[in-house]
Amino acid sequence: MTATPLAKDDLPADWDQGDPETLGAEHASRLAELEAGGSGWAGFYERAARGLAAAPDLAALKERHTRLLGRERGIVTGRLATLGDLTAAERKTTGRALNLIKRWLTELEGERRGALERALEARSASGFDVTLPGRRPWIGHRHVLGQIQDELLDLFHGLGYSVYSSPEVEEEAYNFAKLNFPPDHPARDAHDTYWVEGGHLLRTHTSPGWVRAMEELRPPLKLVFPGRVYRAEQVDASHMDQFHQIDGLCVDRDVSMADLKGTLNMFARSILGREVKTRLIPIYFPFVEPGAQLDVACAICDGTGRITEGATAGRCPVCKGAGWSELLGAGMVHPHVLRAVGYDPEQVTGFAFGMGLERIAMARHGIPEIRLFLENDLRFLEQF
Amino acid sequence: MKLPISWLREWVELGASETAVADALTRRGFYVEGIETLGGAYPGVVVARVLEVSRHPNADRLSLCRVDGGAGELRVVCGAPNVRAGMVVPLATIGATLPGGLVIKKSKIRGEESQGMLCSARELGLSEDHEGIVDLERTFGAGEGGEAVALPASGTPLAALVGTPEVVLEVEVPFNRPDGLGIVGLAREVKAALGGRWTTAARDRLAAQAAARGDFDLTLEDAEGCPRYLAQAVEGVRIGPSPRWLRRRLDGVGQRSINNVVDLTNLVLFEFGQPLHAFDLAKLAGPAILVRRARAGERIVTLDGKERALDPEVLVIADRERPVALAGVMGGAESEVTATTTALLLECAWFDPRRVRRGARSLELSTEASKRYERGVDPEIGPAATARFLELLARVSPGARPAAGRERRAGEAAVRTLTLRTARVARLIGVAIGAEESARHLAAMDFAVTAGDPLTVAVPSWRPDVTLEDDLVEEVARARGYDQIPEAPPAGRGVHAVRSERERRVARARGAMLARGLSEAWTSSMVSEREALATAALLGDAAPALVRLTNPMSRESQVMRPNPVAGLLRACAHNLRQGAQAVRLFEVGAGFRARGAGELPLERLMLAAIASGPAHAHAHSDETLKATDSALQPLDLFGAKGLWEAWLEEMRVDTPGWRAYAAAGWKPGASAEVASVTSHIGWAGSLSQPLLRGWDIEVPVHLFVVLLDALSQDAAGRPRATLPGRFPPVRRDLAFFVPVAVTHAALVAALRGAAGEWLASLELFDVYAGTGTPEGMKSLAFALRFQHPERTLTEDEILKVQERMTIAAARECGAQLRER
Repeated sequence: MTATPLAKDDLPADWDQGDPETLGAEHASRLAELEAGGSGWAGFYERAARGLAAAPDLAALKERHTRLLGRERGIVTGRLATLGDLTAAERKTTGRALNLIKRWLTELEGERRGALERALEARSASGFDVTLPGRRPWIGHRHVLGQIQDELLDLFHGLGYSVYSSPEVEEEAYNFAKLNFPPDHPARDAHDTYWVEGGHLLRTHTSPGWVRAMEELRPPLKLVFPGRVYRAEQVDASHMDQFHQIDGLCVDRDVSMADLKGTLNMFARSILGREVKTRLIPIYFPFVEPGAQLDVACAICDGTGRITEGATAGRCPVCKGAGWSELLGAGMVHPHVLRAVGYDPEQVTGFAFGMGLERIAMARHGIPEIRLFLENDLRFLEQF
Repeated sequence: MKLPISWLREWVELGASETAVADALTRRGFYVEGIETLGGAYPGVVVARVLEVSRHPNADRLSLCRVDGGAGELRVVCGAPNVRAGMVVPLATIGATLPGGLVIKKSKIRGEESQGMLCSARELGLSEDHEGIVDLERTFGAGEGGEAVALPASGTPLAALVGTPEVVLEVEVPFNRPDGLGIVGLAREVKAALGGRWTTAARDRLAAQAAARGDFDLTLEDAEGCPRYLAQAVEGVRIGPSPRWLRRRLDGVGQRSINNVVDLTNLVLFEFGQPLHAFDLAKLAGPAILVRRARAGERIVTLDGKERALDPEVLVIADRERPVALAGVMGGAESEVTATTTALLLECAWFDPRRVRRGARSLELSTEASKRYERGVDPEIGPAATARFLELLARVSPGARPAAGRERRAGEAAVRTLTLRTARVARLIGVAIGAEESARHLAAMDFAVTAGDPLTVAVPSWRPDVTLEDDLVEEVARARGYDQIPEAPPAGRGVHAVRSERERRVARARGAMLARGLSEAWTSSMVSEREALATAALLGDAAPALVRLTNPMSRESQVMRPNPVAGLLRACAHNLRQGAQAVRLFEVGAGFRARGAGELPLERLMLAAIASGPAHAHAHSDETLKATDSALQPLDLFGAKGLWEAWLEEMRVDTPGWRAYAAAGWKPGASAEVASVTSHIGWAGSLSQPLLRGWDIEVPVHLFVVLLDALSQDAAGRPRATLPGRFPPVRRDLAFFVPVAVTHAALVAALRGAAGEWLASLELFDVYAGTGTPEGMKSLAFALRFQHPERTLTEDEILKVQERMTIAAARECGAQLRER
C-alpha cells in the first residue's frame, strides 16, 4: 500500500466535459484546501467532481457513484479501507484528504440526483405525460347525516350506550299516552301527527323507543335510539316533515340531574370542541320532570347576541342577536313514564335526552336548507 | 305571549333592566325569544292635518294630498286607501328618520313631487298594523271616559302624543304553564327570580272580589263542562273609543283596539289570563244564560261572521232561545256589543279544558280565549278578574253601574297538598338542598309551605301543572338555577355497550356499497301511490298491502314506501336533470307492509342500489395508452352485476345463486333473483323504459335490492382459515360446446362436482357462439388452476382430473370438450 494520491487519469477523460459552473461556489476553495494539505489529491478530485456534477442521467450517476464511492469497488472507498497500512504521518494527511473528498463528492452526487429527478418529473424521455389523469373509479360518500349519526353513536358507545331500534309506524299509546301526554292535551299540538289507516301513527319522536326498551329490559340501562321521525308540517327551508333524532336513556338507582349534566356537557365538548360554552335551562316536555334544554353559546358573540367592539359592533350577525342556540332537550324521566312500564320511581330514576341530527349537521357544515338532506343531489352529497 | 315591561312594572316593584328580566325568565323556563321596542323618538315626525285629497294623475292607487304640517302647506303623495280630508295624521317630514331606519327625502312618485310621507302604525313601530295611515283622532282622540279630546296643533312632534317607547319581551310560554299567558303569572315568575315585590296596586287587585247579587237567571246544565260561571249585568254603559292608555296596553300585547268594552275584556284576559266575554244584554232572550251542550242541527254565526253548524260535543252559552256563544272559544255575532249597546252582560267562567279543546277542534277555531281555557285557567281568579273589569269600566264609561248578577259553582275545587322530601330533591337533582332553602323557593312562587321534612306544600290554584312531588323538585331546581347544579362525570354504572350483529351487518352493508363507489342517499319514506305500486311490483308484489296516510300533505307522499326504490329513482331523476352524467346511489332503510287490523305494519330493512352512466368516474381515450372502450362506455348489465356480486362477496353471502326472474318494470330478459343456500335475498337487473318514464328517466338504470334481515341467517360469521398452498399451481384452459339452453351455473356445477379438491379455481374467460360453433351450441371457455397442498401435481394426475370433469360435463350438460 502506498500513500501516492490517485490521479486524474485514474478516471475517464470524458468526465471533464461537465460544466464547471455546476460545481458550485465552493469548488475553488475546496481545490485550494486539498492543494494546501499537500496531499496531491486536487487533480483527482477535480475530475471526479466534474464527473458527478455532469452525469447525463440517473443511470450514469449511479455507475460513477459505484466507481468512486461504491462500498465494494469504489476507488475512494477502497483507499479509505486500507488507511491502516500507512504510517501514522501518511495516514493523517491522506486520511484527511480522502474524507474531505468523500464528503464533497457525496454532496455533489446528492445535488445532481435531485436535479435529474426533478427534470424527470414533468415529462420523461419517452413522452409519457405523467400529469394526465388516471382512469378513476367512483368514490362512494356516506350521507352527511349518516356521518353525524355514526359519530354520535360512537361517542355514546364509548359512554356505554347500546343502540335500541323501535318501529317508525307506532301505536298512539307509545308515542303519547305512555310518555305522559294526556289525551286531548295541548302538548300534543307541538307534535303535528301523520296518521295511517288503522289508527296507528308515524312516530313524532324517537322517545317511544324508551318505553319499548323499558318494557323489555330491566335496569340498569343505557341506551340510544337513533331514527327517522315525522311531523305533519308544511315543508320549507327550515322545516321538513321527516327528520332524524337520537334519544338517549339512562336508568338506574340514583341517577340524577348532576349525572345528566355531566353526560350532556361531555357530549357537547366532544362534538363542538373543548371550549364550547353551554347553559342548561328549564323547559317543558311531558315525559320528563324536571325538564331541561341544553343551549350552546354562539361562538362569535359568546352568548351575548351583540358585538361590542370593532367595525362590526352591534347585533351579532351570526346568531342574529339570539346569543344561544338549542342543541338538545333533556330531563329526568317522568315518574308517570317509569310507572307505565312497571318501574318503581322510588327504586330507580333515569335521565334522558334527545337531539336532531339535521340541526347539528346544519350548524356544523353551514347548511342553509333542511330540504337538501333528502334531495340527494350528488353535488351536495359528495361534499362530505 | 308579549310582555310589555311597563305593564310588568305596574305589578312588580323592580329595579332590574329589561335584559335582566329577559335573562331571568329564560333561565326559569320562559324562553325569551326577542326584545322589541314599540314607538321611538320620531325625529321629524309631526302631527299634521289633511286638507284635501285628490287622485294622483298617473296612478290609480295613489292620492295627492294637501297637508298642513304646522310650518306651512305641503304636497304629499299617499298610497293608503283610508286617507281623507280632515284626517289628523302622522307626517314624516323631509329629513325625518323612522324607527326602521328609513330617512325621508324629497322624492317624485310617478311624476308628482312628495314633500314627506304619511305613516302607518307599522312604519312608526307602534304596532303591526299596516292597513292604512294612522288615524290620530281615532287612536288618541278619546279621553279617559271616552269623551273627545283635542289633538295638539299641526307641527307638534308626534313623540309628545305617543309618549315613551314601550319595550316588549316575546316570551315562549311552556304548554304546562297557563299562568304564563297572563301578565300576572309572568310577573310572579319575575318577582321570584329577581327578589321583587308586588306593588300596592297589584296586591289590591289580587285581593279584590266581585260578588254578584244573585238575581240573574243563570243555569249550568253541563256542570262538568262548566263548573263555574259568573254573570254580571252592567247598565248605563256607553260604547266608544278607548282612551290612550288602554290602546297602548293592547298595542303592547299585539291586540287591535275595537271599543272600550271589548278592549277591557281583552286587557283583563292578557293581564289575569282569564277570558271575559261581554254580551249586549238587550239581545239576550230572557235575559237568561244557560250553559249546555249544543243540540244537533243548531247553528250560530260567530263574531268572525262565519256561520257554524254545531254538534253535541260543543259546549255553548245559550239564552232562553238559542246559542249565543261557543263556550270558551268565541262569542256570537247576534249578541255582540255594538255602538248602540247600553247594557251588557259580562261572562267570567271556568270551562273544562278538554271540552273547550274538543269544541275548538271540531270547529277548527283557535282564539286567545280557547288557547287559555285549553291549558287551564286559574279557577279561583274569576272574582278578582271581574272586579278589575268593573273598576276599569267605571273609568272608561262613567255612569256604568252593576245590575243583576249571579255566580254559580258546582262543587268547590280542592286545594292540592303535596309533600316534599329533602332526600327526593337530593336524589333527583344530585345535590343536597336543605328544607329551608326549598321552602324559601316555593314561598317566593306563592306556594303555601309548612316547614318540616318533608315540607307540606299547598299548590296555588293557578298551577295545574304541579301534581307530584317531582314537580316540586323541578320548582326548586328552577328556582336555584340549573347552572347551580353540579356536574357529575358520566359513570360506567356496570353497563357496557354492545353492538348487535344486525348493527354490524348494516354497517358492513353500507361500507361494501361505498367501496363499490356508490354514494349513500337518504330518501323520503313517503311516496305516491303510483310509485309504491310500481316499485312493489318490481319485487313481485302486484297487489301490495300498502300503509296509507290518512292526512297526507300531498299526493306525492300519501303512502309509506314498500321499499326504497322510488326514492332512489326520484334522486336519480333529480341528478340527471341537474346534468349528472352518472348516478350511483344506495339507501338502507325500512320498507313498509300493512298487516292485520290493529297490528303495526311490517318494517323490513332493505338495501336498494341504483347505477347508471359510465363505469368510471374518469376515463379518456389516449393513443399511447389505448384505453379500453369499456372504460368509456356506460355500465352494462354485467358491469352492474359485477358490482352486486362483489358486494355479496364482501357480505360473505354463502354461494349466492342467481335465477332468472321476470316481473313488471324490469327490462325483459335482464333481471334476476338472488338466493343463498337457505333463503331468498334479493333482486337485480335493468329497469324497463316504461317504468323509468314514470320518473322521467331516459337512460338505462340498473337496480339491486336486498333484504338485509334475510341476509343475516346466511352471512357466514367466522370462517375457518385454510392454508394457502405452498406448491406451484398448474394452469389449464378448457373450452366446451354446450347446448345454448345450458347455463353457466349448471356447467360450472358439473365441472366442480367432478373435479375434486385439487381444483383451486375455475373462472370463465370467454363466451362465444358463431362461426365454428355447432348448430344450437355455444362455447364456454374456462381458466383452471390445480393445486395440491403438499406436493407438486404430476401431468398424469391433472389429465385424470380433466377427464373426469369432461365426462361429467358431457353427462350432465351435454357438453363436448372443444379441441384446440
